[in-house]
Amino acid sequence: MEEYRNIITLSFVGFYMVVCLGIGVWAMKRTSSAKDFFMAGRNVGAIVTALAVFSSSLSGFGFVGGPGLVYSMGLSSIWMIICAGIGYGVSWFLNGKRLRLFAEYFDSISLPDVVTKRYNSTAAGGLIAIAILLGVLGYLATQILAMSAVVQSILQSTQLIPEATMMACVIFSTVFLVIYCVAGGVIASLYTDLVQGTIMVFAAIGIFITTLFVFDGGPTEVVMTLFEDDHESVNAFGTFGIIGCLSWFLLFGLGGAGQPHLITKFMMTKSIEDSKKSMPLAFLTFSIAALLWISIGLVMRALVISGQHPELASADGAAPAFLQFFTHPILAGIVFAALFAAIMSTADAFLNIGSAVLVHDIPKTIIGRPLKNELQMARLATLILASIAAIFSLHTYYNSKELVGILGAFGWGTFASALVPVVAIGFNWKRATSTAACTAIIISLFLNLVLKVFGITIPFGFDGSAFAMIISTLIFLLVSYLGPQDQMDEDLEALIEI
Amino acid sequence: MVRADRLVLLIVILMTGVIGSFWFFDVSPGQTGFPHPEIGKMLKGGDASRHDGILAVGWVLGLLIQLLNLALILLGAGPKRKLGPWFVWGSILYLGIWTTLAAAYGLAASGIWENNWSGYPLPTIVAMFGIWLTPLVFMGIYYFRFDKLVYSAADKKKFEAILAKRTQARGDM
Repeated sequence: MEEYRNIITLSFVGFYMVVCLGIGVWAMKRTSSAKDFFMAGRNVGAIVTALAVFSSSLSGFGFVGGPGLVYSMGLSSIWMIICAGIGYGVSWFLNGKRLRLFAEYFDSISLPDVVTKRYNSTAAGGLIAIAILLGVLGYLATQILAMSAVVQSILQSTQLIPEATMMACVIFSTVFLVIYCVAGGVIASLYTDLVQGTIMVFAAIGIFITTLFVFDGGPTEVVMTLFEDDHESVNAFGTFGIIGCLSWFLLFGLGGAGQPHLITKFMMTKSIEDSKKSMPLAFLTFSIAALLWISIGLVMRALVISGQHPELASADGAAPAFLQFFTHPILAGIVFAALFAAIMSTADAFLNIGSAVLVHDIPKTIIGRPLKNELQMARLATLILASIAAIFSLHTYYNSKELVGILGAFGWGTFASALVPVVAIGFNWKRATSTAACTAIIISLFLNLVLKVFGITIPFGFDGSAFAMIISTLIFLLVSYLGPQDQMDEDLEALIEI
Repeated sequence: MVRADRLVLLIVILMTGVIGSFWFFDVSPGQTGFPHPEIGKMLKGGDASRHDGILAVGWVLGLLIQLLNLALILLGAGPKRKLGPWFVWGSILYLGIWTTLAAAYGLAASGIWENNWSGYPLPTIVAMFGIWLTPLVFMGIYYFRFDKLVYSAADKKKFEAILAKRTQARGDM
């Protein structure tokens, strides 16, 4: 079967793509309004919500970058995973019910829309829209670049189109992504997430079982090999140290409560009670999928240290090398499809919230109303956004490798530092003011941009975005306490009390 | 009783202070890892004693992060709802697990008590099973007490009344 490895991989990925297109066509028939396109008609069940939240949160980074980090730094990056327990808990307690209540009461179709109405401030909504748009562009470009790299590697390894250039792969990936997102909007995105999340879980289980048998002595031999080479690599904080790991725990745990591509899913549920059922399922599936992250990284590190595998040219090569040399061809095929799934589920979520910003929120800020014929304009905006991100990713690939990295990192950090105080805290706290919200958003944009662009670092490896999140939260709380209180509508006050 | 919003503010102020204090510490070489001498693209951590000056500060920071998460759960639940003994014991357990992790790491670093389970150092076991899974207590509260603590029948009635009022107001216009 080994000689058919590349063909098997290609078949799995091809089959998966056909399924996604099928879902796109099916979803198109169910999309007849902007509310369907952006909010799935607020008719999404608990299982779909859970798998959509989990699969959107674990992008291609979880399948390639995560194992690469473990290979390079030992167990440091487990803090990005083990924060999920408390992070999911906090996010559901703060956002699960509240966002759904607000979405129904305000009849909102986007996060900036709810922010505008909660704070009775077009400025706050407009600023959130700008923050989201900037982050979305960076994120989308990184996802398209990652997807194109996988397409190129598959086409070259199967000798199907050995001369496939990166530009051709970017165009193919973008067109494919756009087809089902333009057709079916968020309904297509959510139901492909369901398929994608399921594939990711099965792939992770298969890989985890495989890693148990790579060494004769099992996981114990893996750990002993790593321990003898460097005690700290398998200790709780890995090679990075306690402070850096804690900053990741903070940023990826609490910061998750401010990621628009995750929390907007709460606005789409059929009923408020769905958030009760979606929480344990989202946590369980994320935890299973995260096993792939840890197990591949540890095994590849042990294999290289023990001389059983040659040194890797780059840490991100850990997962591809493991799939190539230590995995059954069928499982490798499933994992490649899962990798595609992970990238696409994140990308389609961003396309959706980005197009909502372009069609609904920015026009409302500037001209006081959304664009006319919102559904058609949303489809056009999806196309435009994907094209800009594709150009951006090509520019990055051929000219400036750092640009997309900066914007990608800027995305998570900005979302965390702007939306955790303004949405997660402010939607549960009557004292929060519009001035505080605007100040916190501006501070978060400024700090994240300055820290990334000028490469300013904090001692002991404390993450700059985690620092920005704490500072913007502090300023948000202080300005709310010290400034004049906003006049609040009595219904809104009652809503926050629920 | 302390209000959750004030608790959040207090914790965030303390966290800012702790992070600000980092600039006053000497950062020893290799504090955040150093290149593996034989294998490229791989880092080593060296000796756990690299944390000598900073471990206590790290423990305080970790404690504040966990407290912030717990205070935000209180904020999300709302001022009028009591999360009950499960939340109190869960919080104590969670903070205790973090303290056990930091203490086990510190004791191993100073050579007093090095404990490996199936090859894994004890702090790693505590992180993987304790820090990752203890929050299941809070998820359990959300899931099993949803109808009382998160969205009760009274909440539902109240929300429906607000919606009806809004619909009526729109109709009047």
